[in-house]
Amino acid sequence: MTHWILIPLQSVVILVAVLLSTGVLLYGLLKIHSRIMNRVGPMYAGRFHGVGQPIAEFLKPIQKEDIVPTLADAPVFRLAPLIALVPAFLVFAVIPIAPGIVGANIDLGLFYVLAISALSAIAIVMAAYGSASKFTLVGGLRAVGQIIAYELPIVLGAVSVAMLAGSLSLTKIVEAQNVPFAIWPFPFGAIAFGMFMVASFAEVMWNPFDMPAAESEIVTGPYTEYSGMRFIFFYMSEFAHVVALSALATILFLGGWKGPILPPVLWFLIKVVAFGVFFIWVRFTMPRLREDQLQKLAWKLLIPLGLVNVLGIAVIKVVFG
Amino acid sequence: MSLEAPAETSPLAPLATELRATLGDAILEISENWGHLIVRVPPDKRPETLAVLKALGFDFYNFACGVDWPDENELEVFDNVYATKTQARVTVKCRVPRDDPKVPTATGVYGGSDWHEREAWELFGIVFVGHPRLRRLLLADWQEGFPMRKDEVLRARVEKPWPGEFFEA
Amino acid sequence: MTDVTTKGYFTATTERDISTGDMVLNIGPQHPSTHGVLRVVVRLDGERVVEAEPVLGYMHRAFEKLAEQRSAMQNTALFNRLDWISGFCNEVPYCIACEKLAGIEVPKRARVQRVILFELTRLASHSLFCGVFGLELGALTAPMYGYRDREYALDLLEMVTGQRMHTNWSRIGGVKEDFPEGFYERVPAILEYYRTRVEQWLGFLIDNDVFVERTRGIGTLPQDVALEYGVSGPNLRASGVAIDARKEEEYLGYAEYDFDIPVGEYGDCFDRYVQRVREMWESCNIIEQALEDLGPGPINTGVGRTFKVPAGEIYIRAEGPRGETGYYLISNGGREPYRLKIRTGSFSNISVLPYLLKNIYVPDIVAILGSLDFVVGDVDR
Repeated sequence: MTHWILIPLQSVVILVAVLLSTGVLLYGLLKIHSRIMNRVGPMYAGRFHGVGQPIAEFLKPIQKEDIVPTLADAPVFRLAPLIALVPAFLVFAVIPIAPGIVGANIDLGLFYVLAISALSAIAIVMAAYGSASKFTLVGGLRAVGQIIAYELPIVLGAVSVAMLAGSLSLTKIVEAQNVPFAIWPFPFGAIAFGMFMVASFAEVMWNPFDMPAAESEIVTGPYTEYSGMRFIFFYMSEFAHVVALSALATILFLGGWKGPILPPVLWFLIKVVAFGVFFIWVRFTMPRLREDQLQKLAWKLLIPLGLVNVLGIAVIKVVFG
Repeated sequence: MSLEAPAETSPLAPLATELRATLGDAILEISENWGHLIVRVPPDKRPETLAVLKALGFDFYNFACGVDWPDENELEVFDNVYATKTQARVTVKCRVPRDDPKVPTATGVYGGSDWHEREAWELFGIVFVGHPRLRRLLLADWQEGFPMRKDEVLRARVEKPWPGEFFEA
Repeated sequence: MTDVTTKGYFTATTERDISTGDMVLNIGPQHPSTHGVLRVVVRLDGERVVEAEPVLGYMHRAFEKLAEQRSAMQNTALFNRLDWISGFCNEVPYCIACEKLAGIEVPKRARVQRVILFELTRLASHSLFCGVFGLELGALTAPMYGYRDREYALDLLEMVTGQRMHTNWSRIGGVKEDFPEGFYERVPAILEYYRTRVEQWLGFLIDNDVFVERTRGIGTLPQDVALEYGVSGPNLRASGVAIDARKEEEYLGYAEYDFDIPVGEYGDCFDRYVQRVREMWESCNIIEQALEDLGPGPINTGVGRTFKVPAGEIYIRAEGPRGETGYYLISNGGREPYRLKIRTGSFSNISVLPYLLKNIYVPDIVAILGSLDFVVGDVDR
């Protein structure tokens, strides 16, 4: 039984850690995509190669005017950013970064993560509808369609891993991977990994599944009417999602904290950073898929593949024990 | 400006004779100008002439424009068409009186004349009879008059009394 | 609406008239995607476009009326603002029109210089297209590469003319000044760079499955429609019609140079993209041959300040990167042109938009607009 004071303490620590990691991801994003584009990125903020840029990005919108459009549905409009942000942070309560270092070691860790991260869809609909604009409506519907379509590949990928590991608890899944850079039995592990990675791009709405937001014709999609702090909430929730999915991917597929010489926490961080870099790399390399093409990809390719994968794993488990 | 009819040896001569054969009296004048053919027809023969040219292989519709001749109190409509296979170019000209400028439309023959006729209408006032929807293309809703006519002064060259011009939106 | 009360609940809901009306959406005029202030009013049925209509005129600057107020020599300063991305290409046909009417023979060196600068501007313009087209489709890195490529050609232009975009360099009778020192040494390296870039552009996006899916079969423009609407330039050649004013008109000075006209097959967005990349290659060839063709000589016949274009009318066209830029000049011997009709490529190119934007998805609108490569200054004049 842990002392009751540890619970708020742990929450604060996790919150600070997530905020820091969001900032680091933002800095990494700015620098890496600048290099991909053959330029240098922020160099002045914070005096050394722009390290102060994430702080600046956070501080600037705080002091902006709070604008709510006249025709907008004010309560819905105001609530949407919070509903986007809070679940993205709640996910981190169950992510284990080292054996024993985890916020809440619950048996249903994987289930909790997938359920909570699905709440962001509601926030998008609220933002799209509450903004009272045709552009946001179009963007919001696209976003929700995309997220719902790609929920299933993520779930199926995670469920495949859970079946192979035999548990929904994230700590136990990591422990079940007995090789440092885990290799689940081929081809089930590879298929699950591929599906999970593709679907996680769609969940955070980054290229190549960028269609709802940052689209050339609907400006920022559902977030068009948001400015200042509210926009930063959406932005932060997107980055927190990326970090969460990277962490989940390392836990499910890459062995979590396992590794030869270095301490486990460092291995975990290295793997998460590797996934983050991968996310950024693909975002600035691929063009966008049109929304009907990405829906086809989800419904006609990924979901049947996932179902076949789960079926195959079930057969293997029953036959070989 | 008088231009001469195509010479016997000019590559456009066969085209000229064929046009005269097909259109006959409709043609007021055929002349050659810098390697291109100019065909002058009365305004009601404009679509017919263009249809004949299209059948003769002039598939590329270049443009249509208007010209204002205040001394003769007339407006003129040009059509410039081009044959991609033979690289021949023909300009079809029609003159209409300034107070009643009506010309039949060529949109039935060449779809591309749609926008050019809209532009000619709003800049010169030439009414294209039979055009599907003759409305403004380049000018704003509040602009009046036909700017390209010679009696319309270029606003930038006219001094305005203080405080200049402003609109009530 | 069917009468709900007389039927059961489920039949009523399925038979009730769920009218989903068409939504009218305004794309533009202020927009990160369209190449300037073009407004397209689309009627959407869900995500499908039922009909679209471009609304022009947000940038109408009355060039034709302005040209009637300025003397023939002053007008050259006006026309590089038409299609500002390829500024030099708009001045050349006007100068040639005045020269032909006046019977002025342009010296060979001036003609070759015009060709070199023309093709450099074409390289700059097509590099920009490659970059911006990627941006429209969502490849966020592509425009950075396109802008960087463009810089090399603009450096050369700045070296010669002092200006990057509005060059104002062509004069009636030739060009303004000769090439500066050091120009010839810089060109081969830059042509080598562009040749490498052409291969990289072809590999960068063509092998990309997402790009192919977004552009193949989208916005197919058949040949007869293109010809009827006056589409010209790379758009027309991508549809399979091999017309190029550089091969057909001798006054531009391309007769001595050996270059191919690439032709596309279907006329969809993919073909239009590949077309422009291949034309960049041909431009490099032309510049190389033109540099060798440069002999000594004057670069301007020295037309006086009181120059008046003699009476007559003429139509002269040039093959700009956007399409055919033509000037129908009617002169009555006075100081100013009597009537100057400017025929621009972009105006005719986007007149096919109501035809192209039918029964497609909303993102395809952006892809098609990008692939037509128009500039609103060219459209509205």
